[in-house]
Amino acid sequence: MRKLHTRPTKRRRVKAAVVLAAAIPGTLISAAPSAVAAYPTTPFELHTDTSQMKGTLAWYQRTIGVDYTLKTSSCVRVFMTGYTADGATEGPNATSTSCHVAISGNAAIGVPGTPASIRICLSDVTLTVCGEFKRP
Amino acid sequence: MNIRSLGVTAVLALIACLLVATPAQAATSVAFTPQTISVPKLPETGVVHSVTPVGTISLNMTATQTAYVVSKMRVNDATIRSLFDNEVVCRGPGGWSKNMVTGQNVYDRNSGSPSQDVTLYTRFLVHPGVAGTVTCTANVRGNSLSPTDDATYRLVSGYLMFADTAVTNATDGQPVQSSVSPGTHSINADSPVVRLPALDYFTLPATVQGLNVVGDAELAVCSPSTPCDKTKATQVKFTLFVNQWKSDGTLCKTDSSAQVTQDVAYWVHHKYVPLNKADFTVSTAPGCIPRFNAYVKVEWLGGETAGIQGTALGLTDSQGSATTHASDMSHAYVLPY
Repeated sequence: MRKLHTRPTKRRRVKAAVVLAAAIPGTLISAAPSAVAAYPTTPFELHTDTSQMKGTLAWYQRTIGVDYTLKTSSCVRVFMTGYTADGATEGPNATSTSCHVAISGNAAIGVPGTPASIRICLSDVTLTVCGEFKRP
Repeated sequence: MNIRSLGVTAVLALIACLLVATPAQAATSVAFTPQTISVPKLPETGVVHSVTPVGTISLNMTATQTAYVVSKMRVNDATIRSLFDNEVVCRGPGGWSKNMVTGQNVYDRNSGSPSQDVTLYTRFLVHPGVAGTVTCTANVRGNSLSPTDDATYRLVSGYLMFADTAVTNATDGQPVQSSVSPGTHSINADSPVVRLPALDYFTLPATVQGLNVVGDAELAVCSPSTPCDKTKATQVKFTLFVNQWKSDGTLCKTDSSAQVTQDVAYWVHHKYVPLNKADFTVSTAPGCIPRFNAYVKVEWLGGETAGIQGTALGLTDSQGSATTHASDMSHAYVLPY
């Protein structure tokens, strides 16, 4: 199982959709792709009662780029699985367990074909919440 | 177009998208509106619950799809010690239904007890097995524990949602979950251990890399028809065991790291005890296969008698209604990853 990369938090100016973050864990937000990216991108957001993950998905030829921030007041693991349109997958990528952190990071989720969707799950001490995000 | 205007444009596009999409799609999550819940006093015989619907969600499902529904409720500010039940009632195509309830007594607001502020989760897997729309409603069920006075308490927050709409099934096409059969399964000095809830042997697809295993038990203090001192408590240890097996039938891997010991006073009466093993990694060691079982080992340590509550029967659909339904209580399930 590959580890995902993390780096120190960096503030970003683009705040699209963040202001709409809801109070319900698992509430998913998807929006129109960025007009400036070479590849389509979509914002995403997912949260449990104690953890929140949000960021941007970039839909490349054989890979889904995930640029994210992760905050948790407990301990959480993140699982990400990319799929082709017919459901082919290379299996989940998982972070190690993170406890009481606010970090940012990025990951490249391999897909055996053109990426069509990604499934992201947050699993903490009380709850697992998963969301499926589709290529725009 | 600068970055700030790009962000504003994206937000406006999102709002427009939501406005268009909302009428065509049923909600898959809802936050509960804070509200006062009224519960009736105890009648001379039996019990009468008020049933207050606080939220509904729906999901169009395929015949093979399994979804994960979660209801969280937090209540407090009870005028009198009262029963608080977090119930989810799901209905689907062809008369399919699955219901579940967890409960605990919420102490009165002047008690000074931690039990005057209670949070309960009710969560399980839904798999109608035929294509159609599944609709789930969250109810607050309850009654005052006074024989003379009705009561109120406050639902301060909570939500109902499909936390996952694509749960991996076992190789037999069924979700991995099990509920404890009706009745209270006693534990006491003569019979101090039960293994409930329990997931019998199941096999997962070879692509699965790990399991999130949940065992939610409902402990009842003082088993029915046993001597009981209402001023005392029971002490019970709960351990969630997860096992992976080898092809020759011997144990490949086991985990029992999720455990808790509870000391529960009689007046709490029902105690919700959740156990969660979030990351049981599938072993690929020689001989190991993706075959598993799991259970909660419940050990009575002392005090009053106790029991694990199974499916509740004969719950009224609304307060005093002639129509009733059953709701599972203690149960376990698996979210493979």
